[in-house]
Amino acid sequence: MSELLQLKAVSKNFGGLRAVNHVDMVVPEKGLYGLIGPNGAGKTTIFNLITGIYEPTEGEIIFDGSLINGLQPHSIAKRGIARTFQNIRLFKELTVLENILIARQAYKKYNIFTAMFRLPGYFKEEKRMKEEAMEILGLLGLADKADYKAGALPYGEQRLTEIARALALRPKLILLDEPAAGMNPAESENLMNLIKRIREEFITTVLLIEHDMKVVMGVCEYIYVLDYGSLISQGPPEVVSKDPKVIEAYLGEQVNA
Amino acid sequence: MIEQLLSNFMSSYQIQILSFIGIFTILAISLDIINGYTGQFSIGHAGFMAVGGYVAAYLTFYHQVPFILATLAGALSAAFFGLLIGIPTLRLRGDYLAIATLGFAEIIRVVLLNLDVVGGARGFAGISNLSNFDTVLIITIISFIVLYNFTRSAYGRALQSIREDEIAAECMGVPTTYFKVLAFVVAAFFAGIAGSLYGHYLMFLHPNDFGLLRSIEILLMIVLGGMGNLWGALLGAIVLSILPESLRNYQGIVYTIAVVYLVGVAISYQKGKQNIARWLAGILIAGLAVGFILIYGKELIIRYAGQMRMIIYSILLILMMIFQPSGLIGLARDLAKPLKERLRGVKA
Amino acid sequence: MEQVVQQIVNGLALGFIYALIALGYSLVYGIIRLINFAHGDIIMVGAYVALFSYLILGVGFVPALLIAMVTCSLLGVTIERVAYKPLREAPRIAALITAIGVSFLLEYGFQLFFGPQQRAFPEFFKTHHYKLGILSVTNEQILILSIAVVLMLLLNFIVMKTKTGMAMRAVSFDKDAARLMGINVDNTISATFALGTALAAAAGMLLGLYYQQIDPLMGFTPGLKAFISAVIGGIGSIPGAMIGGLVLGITEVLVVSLGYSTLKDGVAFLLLILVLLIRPRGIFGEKVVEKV
Ligand SMILES: Nc1ncnc2c1ncn2[C@@H]1O[C@H](COP(=O)(O)OP(=O)(O)O)[C@@H](O)[C@H]1O
Ligand SMILES: [Mg+2]
Repeated sequence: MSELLQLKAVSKNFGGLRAVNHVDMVVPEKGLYGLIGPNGAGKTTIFNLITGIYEPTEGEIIFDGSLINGLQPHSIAKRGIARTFQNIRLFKELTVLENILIARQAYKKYNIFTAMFRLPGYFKEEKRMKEEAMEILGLLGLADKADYKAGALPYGEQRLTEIARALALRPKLILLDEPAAGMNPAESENLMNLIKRIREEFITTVLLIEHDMKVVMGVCEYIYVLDYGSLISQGPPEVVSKDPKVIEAYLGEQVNA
Repeated sequence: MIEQLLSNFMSSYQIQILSFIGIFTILAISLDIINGYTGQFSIGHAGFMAVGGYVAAYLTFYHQVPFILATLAGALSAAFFGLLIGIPTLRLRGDYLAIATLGFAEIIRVVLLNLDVVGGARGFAGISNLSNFDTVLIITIISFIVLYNFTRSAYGRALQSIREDEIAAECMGVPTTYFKVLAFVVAAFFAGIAGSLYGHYLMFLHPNDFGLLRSIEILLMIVLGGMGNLWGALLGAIVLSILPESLRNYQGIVYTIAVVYLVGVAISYQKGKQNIARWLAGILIAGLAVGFILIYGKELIIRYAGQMRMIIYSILLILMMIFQPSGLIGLARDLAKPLKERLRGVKA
Repeated sequence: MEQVVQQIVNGLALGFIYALIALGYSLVYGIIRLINFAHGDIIMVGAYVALFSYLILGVGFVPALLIAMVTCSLLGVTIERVAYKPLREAPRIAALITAIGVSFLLEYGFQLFFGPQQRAFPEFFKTHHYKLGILSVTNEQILILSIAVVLMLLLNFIVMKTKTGMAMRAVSFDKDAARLMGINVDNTISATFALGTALAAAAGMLLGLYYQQIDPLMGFTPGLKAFISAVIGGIGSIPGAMIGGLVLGITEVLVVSLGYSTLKDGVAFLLLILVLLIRPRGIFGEKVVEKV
């Protein structure tokens, strides 16, 4: 297995706060990796660094063999990194289908004049894009919701739509930020099965943030544990779950909460 | 052609109003690309219109360039200015952008006031009458179709994704900066066309026709009609072009108040707030307004027509934003929905 | 050289007035992230209130100033409650459009009721010229400067040292967190509007003294320029608003004294666009990172 994503001594400061501290991480191709840690540990910040929303204060982020820090989010997306957001960020006023189509827009094969005058090839291309989008929706069981406004869907389906939208980019790496948040145990179990399926069917690499340790243990092959911005442990689930440092970090949280 | 047909039963003044509806439709739908679809905020649309109008008129006046070519040149120049003002959008968010566009339009106006070749503060007189109702109609229809297609394509969807959530759009591979600038360029292009139609129709241009008030007027059209919907922009352009005419005499004012009142009732009905107290209060206010106008009538209207119009505009802006942000087109859609469902029920 | 220095002195008075307005803009923007377009028109209302208190009540300068400030505070709070509060959760563009509506309503409402013509502003004092070495200063300029400075110090005190000021800073930093800490967000926003509009009213009166005449549209341009000052200085920053106002006021007076008075208003906008391109957060502004 070759590494797809690599973080080398990455740090991020917000004013005086060091949200991410010298983090080294490797995610190999086709891996299903987890990133866990208590609230405020810096997990989402790491996703924001990988996707180019923030620039690292120090360190290097290497994706698919090239340095990506400093690139704009949309060009990182085009290189093959897609993501979902912890607090869902769908295009609420648009339909589910349109949400998916937007992720496909970079692959459109017509230019602005073809669009404005509906020149030959326009309808064929639109039809092709819609079929592709419907296919993805079908895989996630959302086909019958295609014409609903995304903002009008129930919470669970909004989360699914976000995953569908990310998959529509046909990414090499998909970053999922607490996809099971707010779900009951049965729902999150379903979701974890879906995530396993995604890796098989889309032949992609997955990096998953979860706050709830139990959820990740079942699906991930390898887990990184973050606390106060620093990695405190890593390894296969059975190793990490027995690491006293990890237990302490989570215990600390329970006491605080 | 069509103009001749219309002139059988319409005065030339009425035909002129129809022509202005066309010109303002082009302005409103193009502004809607920036404000309604992309969610940016421009209040400098009149500046683009001025560039298009002056460049085109300069070409036909001094160089006898054919109207269509001159219009195209005007539109392209406006688009170039759209690119220039679009570039600050690389850095600016909503409200800063608003001030920047306003400032930009003001700079254009001040420069035109000082530019002697195009008449400066005296205005640009003697422009040939190269556009009439027919040209306006044809170009308006073409513009509408072109922009409609644009908004329905992957381009339009990309613009809307920026409006909905800029960060999510970026993460989905939408180069938001590029599309924001594109929105400005396309919108400015069409505003430039409208400027050329305007100048060659009126045969006169003055920098002060392109001040903030003009930009606000166009803005109000899309707010009233419903932002992010080209049909709404069209509706807004029609309503706001006729409104000042109906405010010229007092029957018109009374009718306008009645219509506004009915729309208000429809809005509160739609929101399920139709209690009797509100209706009575509404009737009372409308009655007072009508009574006031009947008593002070003509004098007030003649002396303060301009102020009254601006006051009505400003109240409309505020009320629409608070009570009916989706505009008249949104209201029509909401009201039609139960009707449609009932019709469907009958069929089934 | 002497002339230039003299012009700068003249520009200072105008600059301080811009600064006073800019402070109000900055305060309000800081707390609800809204460019309150109507802020400039409050200037005009303030000037009218001062004028009418002089004409009707026959009061002197200080009472007129206080009456104007209090009336405008009430007006500001009312505008906020009626027009902006319902839109606090709506898209920003909606509030911005409403603000434009309020601005036009004030301008043309005043035209309707008080006539569009210019009115002479009372000379509360006899103008004296003082010689300071090579420079000549009038007592009005000194008055404008001192009132502006006093009000700015007062504002700084309120924002930095009082409970209300602390609440204002908390709300502008994070509304939701402030609410959780038990701060009454609505009242704090109202207090901010009251403060900001009171400053605008004072500025209106000083502008009346400066130009010696007032009209219903007098506030719009200074309002915009004050906003530009706030942007130049860095929106949300009190010293920034002051420096921005001075930079703009002096630039403008210099441009006019060089004989380009038609370009005066263009220059402000040019300055704005330059600042936005080169340093969009202004001189003292902090870079904001949106939380994702
Ligand atoms: N844009 C930002 N500005 C300032 N602080 C931030 C920002 N984003 C995150 N933080 C801080 O960084 C820390 C880590 O946050 P985050 O990455 O969201 O944690 P997690 O996702 O692990 O719960 C928190 O203390 C948070 O408040
Ligand atoms: Mg998080």
